Amino acid sequence: MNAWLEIITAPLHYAFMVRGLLAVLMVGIVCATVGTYVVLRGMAFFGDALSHAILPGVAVGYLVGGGARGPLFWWAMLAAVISSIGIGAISKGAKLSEDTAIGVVFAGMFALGIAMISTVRSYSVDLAHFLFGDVLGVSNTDLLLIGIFGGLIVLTVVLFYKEFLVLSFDSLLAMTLRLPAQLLEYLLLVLIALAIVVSLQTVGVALMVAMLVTPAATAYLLTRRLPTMMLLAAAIASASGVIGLYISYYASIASGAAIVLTSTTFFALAWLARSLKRKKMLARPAQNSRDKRLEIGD
Amino acid sequence: MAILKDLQKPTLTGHYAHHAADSPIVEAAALNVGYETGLALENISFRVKVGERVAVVGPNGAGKSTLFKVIAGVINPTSGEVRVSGYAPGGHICIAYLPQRSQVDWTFPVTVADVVMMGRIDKIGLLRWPKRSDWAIVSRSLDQVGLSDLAKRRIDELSGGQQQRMFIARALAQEAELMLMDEPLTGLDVTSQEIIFGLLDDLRKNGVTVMISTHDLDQAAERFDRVMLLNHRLLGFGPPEAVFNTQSLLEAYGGHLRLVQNGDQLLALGDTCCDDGDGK
Repeated sequence: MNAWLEIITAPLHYAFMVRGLLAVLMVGIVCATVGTYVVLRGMAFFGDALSHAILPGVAVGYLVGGGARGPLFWWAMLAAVISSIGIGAISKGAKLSEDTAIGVVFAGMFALGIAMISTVRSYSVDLAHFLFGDVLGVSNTDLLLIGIFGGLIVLTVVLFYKEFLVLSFDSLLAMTLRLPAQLLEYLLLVLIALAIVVSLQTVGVALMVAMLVTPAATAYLLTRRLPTMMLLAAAIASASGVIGLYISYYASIASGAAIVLTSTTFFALAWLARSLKRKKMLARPAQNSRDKRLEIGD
Repeated sequence: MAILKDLQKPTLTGHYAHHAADSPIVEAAALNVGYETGLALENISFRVKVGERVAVVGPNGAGKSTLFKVIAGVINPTSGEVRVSGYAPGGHICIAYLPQRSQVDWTFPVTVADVVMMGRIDKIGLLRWPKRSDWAIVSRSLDQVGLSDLAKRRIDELSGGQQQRMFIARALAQEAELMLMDEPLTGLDVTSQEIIFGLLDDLRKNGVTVMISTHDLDQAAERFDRVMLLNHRLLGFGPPEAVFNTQSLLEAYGGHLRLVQNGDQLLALGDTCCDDGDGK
């Protein structure tokens, strides 16, 4: 028993581990909340593209600040907001399919970011941090920023819960109810962008989409009500973050990768559980007769 | 009653439109709607009276959905105008557009009651949560369409007819006075269709105007007050016996419709319909 306790508490003697754990807890909640909409609206590719597209912003901050971490957050935020609104415009105005337009523009931005960062000598460590995260490098200021902006994101999602629900389920209804549909649409894009910036340091640009999509997708397999899905996704994401960080500590694996792999494991387990449950349901005749009754009632 | 209440309530877009007492509920004047590929609707003018039940028929791609979206104020016409109760549709929240069932994401994680509550979101207002009175309206709406028992069900558990009734309940919760139903009968069995027609009769009693797009010419002729024959242009609008003549039907459907002269009667054998079997 004490051995287990020791395993859990040992890393907590390091202040950077405590900060890292707090960061992944908060980031998990934020990403899962926003990610629920990303999954329901089929925006995984958008999320992936957007996270790659903020790299030039990060690069500018990196060059301007001479390697200092402080200003990165704000530059990333600027880039994210511009990109997310830009994407809204692209998908409306482009003659190409939205997919193709996103692919072209955002791969280009990603390359631009890498090119800019590579002008600095000995850039490879920093680039790796941007791409794959550096959760153990989280400072107290970072934690504060994550807390404030993460809190704002979650609060906004809660406050506009019913509007985002209608917009996502039936945008025509949103329009006939004269909701400011276009405004809400952009607000959601900006929220996704902010969630990406907030999570930048935990998993990095390249693995970001996993934070947005995997926990929410796992929750989607397990429940079919939106509020439950959000809560469950947040729990799964936070748990993945914490477990992943411990695995990273003991097995010396890159933290971002460990976190993402943990949440992927949760997804696989949920998938398995659901498949087994389905088989069971099919085998049970009582279930079928209930469905028949439903049909007759119509 | 609901209208009076809403008149005083400002929204983000301003105040809701008034209803001019003696105006037709829908009035279209020289309506043109252009898409990149050409005109979807060309020079459409008509009037619909309060409480009428209108069938909109025409081949696939005739512009039926587009017409509904223009009336709902979701698409702006290129030229011409639509008025709902005398005012531009964009100011009304009493217009319900009921989507084609095949256009809906049935795996979305919501219950039947959740969907019906969506109809009230504007009345609830920004930054507010549904009140007890809103839930009462939702349960009354579900009761009216006979879905009370299924309120807590996930929407993917519903049959096609139940799905359609859920959307009618949502329009009731919205307190809609004009319902635009996009192919509500397609893919439903006869029993389910009869239930829907029963609900349409209830709506008529309550003075709700209904416009329905359908591929079933037979039903359009028998169960509606007036029929609108549409193929980009308005080819006829009036009582079925006046609209369904050989020339208009051929003009609308071209070779896709087989017309058989049977004594004095004209029989139409099938249109281009698209029974894609989305009804479960």
